[in-house]
Amino acid sequence: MSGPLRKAEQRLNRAVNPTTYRADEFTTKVNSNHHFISTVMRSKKLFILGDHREFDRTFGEQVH
Amino acid sequence: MRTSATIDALFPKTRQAILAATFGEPRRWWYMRELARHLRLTPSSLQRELASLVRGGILVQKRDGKHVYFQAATESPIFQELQGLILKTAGLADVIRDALKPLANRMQWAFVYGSVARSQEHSASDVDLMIIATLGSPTCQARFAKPSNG
Repeated sequence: MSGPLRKAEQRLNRAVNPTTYRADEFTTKVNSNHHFISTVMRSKKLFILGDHREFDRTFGEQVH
Repeated sequence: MRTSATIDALFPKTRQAILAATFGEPRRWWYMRELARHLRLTPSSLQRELASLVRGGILVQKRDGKHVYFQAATESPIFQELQGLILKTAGLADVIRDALKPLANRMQWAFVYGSVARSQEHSASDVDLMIIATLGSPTCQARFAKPSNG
């Protein structure tokens, strides 16, 4: 992909695969047990931006 | 924050954090208090590691008045190799955060998930990044790839 993450890919020497949702889209998908989002929610997360506690409060307590 | 199994096997946590910060921005001179704040550690917990890294020629220090500053030893014969190692392991979160900085005000959360976040990555694993944009920021969507199975 072009843009801001290209530099990160070069520095890390590996591909970065971004997926973007608006907060309201993400909420809808969490609530509807969307398959991909459910997998993401169950996955361990390494927070880059934003507060993980606020994330948990917003989308429900998750293990990560 | 930093969860790479590879780097965990090599260096204790505080040393990793110092190396990630200094080698992530190798031109920057860090004042100890500033480095401690950045790493969310106490200056006293950094002191011994910093002294040992300077003795080992991994970091260099300079004195300016009563302040001591630290920087990655860019002249070191192992600088490039060590920087590569740090960036691919401990420095991952910092590298991505830095790249997202221009768009950070449109993002509510960004996190790495999958094998890299689980500390089970192989050196060639892709980094799976989830970005949740602030409401009312349509331009963010346009700047990144659309979700493939959205």
